[in-house]
Amino acid sequence: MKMAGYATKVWDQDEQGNWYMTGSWKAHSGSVWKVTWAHPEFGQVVATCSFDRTACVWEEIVGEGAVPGEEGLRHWVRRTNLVDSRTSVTDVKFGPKSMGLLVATCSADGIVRIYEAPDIMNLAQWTLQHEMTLKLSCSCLSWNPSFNRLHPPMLAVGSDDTNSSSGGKVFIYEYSENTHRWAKTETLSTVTDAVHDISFAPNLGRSFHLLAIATKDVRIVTLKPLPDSSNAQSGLMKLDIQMTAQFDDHYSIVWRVCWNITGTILASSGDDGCVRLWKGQFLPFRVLPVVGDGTQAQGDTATPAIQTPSSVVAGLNQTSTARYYKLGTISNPNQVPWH
Amino acid sequence: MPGAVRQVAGGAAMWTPIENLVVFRYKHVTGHLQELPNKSAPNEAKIHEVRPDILLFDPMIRKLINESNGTFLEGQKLMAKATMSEARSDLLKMSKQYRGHRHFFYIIIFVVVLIIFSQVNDDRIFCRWALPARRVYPIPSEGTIRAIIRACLENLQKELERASEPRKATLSSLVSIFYNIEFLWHLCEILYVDAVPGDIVLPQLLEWIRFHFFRCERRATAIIDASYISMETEGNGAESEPEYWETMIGLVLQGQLEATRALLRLHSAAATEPFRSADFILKTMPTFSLLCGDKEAFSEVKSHCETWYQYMAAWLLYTEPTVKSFDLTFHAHQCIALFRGLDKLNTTDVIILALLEADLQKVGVAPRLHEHLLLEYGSLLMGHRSLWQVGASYLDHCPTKGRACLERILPCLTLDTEARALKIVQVARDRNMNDVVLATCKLMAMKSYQRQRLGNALTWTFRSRDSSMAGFLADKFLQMYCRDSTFQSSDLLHNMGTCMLVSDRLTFLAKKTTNESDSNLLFIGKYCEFHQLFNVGEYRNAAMLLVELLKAKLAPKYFLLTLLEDAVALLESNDIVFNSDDTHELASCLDQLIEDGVVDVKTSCLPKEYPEQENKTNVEPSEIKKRLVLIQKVIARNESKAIIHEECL
Repeated sequence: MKMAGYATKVWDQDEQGNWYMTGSWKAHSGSVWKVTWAHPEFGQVVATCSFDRTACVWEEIVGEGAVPGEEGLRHWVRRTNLVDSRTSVTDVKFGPKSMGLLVATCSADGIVRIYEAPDIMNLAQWTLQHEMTLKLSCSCLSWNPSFNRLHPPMLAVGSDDTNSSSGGKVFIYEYSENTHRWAKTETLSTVTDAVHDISFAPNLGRSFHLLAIATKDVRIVTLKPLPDSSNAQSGLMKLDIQMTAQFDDHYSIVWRVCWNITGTILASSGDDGCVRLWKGQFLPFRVLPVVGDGTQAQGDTATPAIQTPSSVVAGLNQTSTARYYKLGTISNPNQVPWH
Repeated sequence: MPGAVRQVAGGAAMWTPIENLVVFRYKHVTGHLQELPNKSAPNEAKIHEVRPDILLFDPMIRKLINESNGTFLEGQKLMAKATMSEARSDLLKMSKQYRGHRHFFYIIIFVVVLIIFSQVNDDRIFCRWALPARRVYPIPSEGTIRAIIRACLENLQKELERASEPRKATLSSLVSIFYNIEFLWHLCEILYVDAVPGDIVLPQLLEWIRFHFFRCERRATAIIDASYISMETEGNGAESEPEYWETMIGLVLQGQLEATRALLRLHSAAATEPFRSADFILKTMPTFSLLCGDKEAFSEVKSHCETWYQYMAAWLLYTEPTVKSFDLTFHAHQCIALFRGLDKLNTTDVIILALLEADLQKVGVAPRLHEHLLLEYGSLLMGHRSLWQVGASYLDHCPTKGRACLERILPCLTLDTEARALKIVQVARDRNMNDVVLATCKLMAMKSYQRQRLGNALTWTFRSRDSSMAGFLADKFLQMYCRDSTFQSSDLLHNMGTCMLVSDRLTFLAKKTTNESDSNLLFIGKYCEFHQLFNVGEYRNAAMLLVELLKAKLAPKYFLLTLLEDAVALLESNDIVFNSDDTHELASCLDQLIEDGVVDVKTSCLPKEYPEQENKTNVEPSEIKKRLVLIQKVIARNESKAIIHEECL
């Protein structure tokens, strides 16, 4: 769990499901924009990024208890301060654990940096492995968490530049084993409004990647590697990009998008104060009539009668049948609502 | 969203495993903006955790989930081994057992269906019409998996009767859901499971309609049972029943011609010629045209049908009795158009239509649809505390994505008890998901370590065969020994056996490895052995082991002092347990120790870059000096004793 302002706070959940705060510290000398957890295998590790032009990695230490058998005091320590950026660091994300312990940051001046901790037992040591310069200011980034080792490591970066004539605002970078460098392979020219959040969906066996984009509406894009299209130099395959869905149901700017654990449901949220859940529909049928509760099902405009194996996600439909209720609340008078 | 800053900010949400959402107030700021002081801070804003209310997780449904899982797995086994035709009939048996404790008589073309119904509760009384049957399935015995849904519905009905709001509403919706499930399952059976020669599905469609739209049969029984025996009195026949003709039409629409005739016979004018002929050819004015498939007649009686599919079955019976399953879609659309039209279909209608249509594409689509549904259902169950194993069994049967899905979800299950963690590890191990095994064991080891349960942490580390963690824990054990002069979890350490090799590939006589912590676990094992020997009085063997340990340089630096003090305990005995060589070894060890300085236990294991934490040393420097001096004295004394002893031999 995370918090904002200049401070970072951490809550734990006990066996009864109650939340209690276990950490609170002043993380930066400027507003903390984002907080992200590393994979639990690396321990209790968190990274933050801030307006103060730095990104930090923190680890929770458990001291020895005064009495044997009792848990000691837990506190968070700063392991490293990444100070290479000249401007506000707008996003920080850990890489997929199969790649080791990596963290990527992006800044308001359009520079994306990738750091690596060569010794995962020593979180104080990070080296800057790659630096990519984009022409536009960056607001968000997302690693492709693909578990399929056939895909090269992939990163999507979004820009919140408001000038729509400066071109596409989402950039796809891939790592080439041949050149040992990250290269920009695609620019999504259909997304020209400011992008505030992007997120790759967990891939459980799809032959294509799904990327959700939070911009003036919710966009979902599929990226399909085309076999037999490898670039001779980099060895990277070309990607076929399709805009699979576009939802403007928020009727306002969409700020955040987040996929669930299996990559089947997308949560989007925006200025209208609503959270919407989107679910991919399996559409083998030619006609999907309007369901009685008034929700319009996606039509069959582009789907062929017989679905070929490559186009399982043909259309997306808003879930309207799940009922939700509140489990519990965490409140803290010192809490600031935005980060 | 509730919260003080409703007007000022929008919202944001993030997922937590597996199906919960965390929702909070959120105002986005871009990196460009100057940092403005936060106008509404501090304030009472909240983070909400939201969970889907999954009806399926209602405790009343648990039994059904488990039993249906059993049926599913049996079905999968059947499909795997039997031939197609055998499998089919077995599957049909199982699906019917699955549906209720009735037995169905399988009927070949143009023979009237015979159904025996058992009385489930007061609401459902079905009639019995006896006719010869061709093939009979044995009545499923009580012990087998049967009537799963029916049993569940029974339980739900019972609960419903004694429940009060709001539970009543939940139970009501559960009842209607599962009733509908049974209804649609029946249709699936007809379309997919039953192999009808010639693909003539009508008789079974009629059976389906009759079973679920039983009111006119019930009314007919009531009328018959009211025994209108006296026919002589004019106008005293059954036709005086208000619903007589309606019931008759209903029966005809369902093709229940015997029942129709029975009702006809109860008419006061039954003996008359017209009724006789009607009875003989089973025609009456309204039904005659029906039987000829007259469209106008059909539209007149449309109001006797509640739904388009009832109508469709009747229409087909009298116009196209040999209809094939793949033509059903066409007729379905026609009937829907006559009813309320495509716009006004409810969920059940949509599903039925989809089932009929899917038949067209069943070859290409069914396996993928099957996997998609299993995947959704399995993932859903994985989110439940106790049903996750049932979910895993479904994911196992998803050939393309099941494994990846399971690998993704298993590590996210909460590990709050040992038993649960062990179960998860077992499930992962059975499926060769080594990453998951390793990750889970590591997490459990860390949790135990943080709770100061070193022994438990070590046990988990053995399970994961994680050598660096083992070395790390070994260090902790040794440090505690230095502090307390006793080992925690000594039983475990004594009985490590081959496990100790997890952290040291070399034998204990090998040279010191570059990474000190790797060898520590082995060292502990040997050191415990030393203690065992000491405790049983085998001083000579203990001494030899001690010297070997010193020579092999297995001990971490901070432990050397302790080792030498152990040696002192032996040296002070009257017997000569250390020979002169041994003593020499001890002496040189001591010299080395004095030269290097006694190492601080706490900070010796941390990487250099880490700031020193809690920078206390175990003992005061003067205290250490005293101990060193004592050891020196004892070793020197022993050395001379040993030399003299050897000289004398």
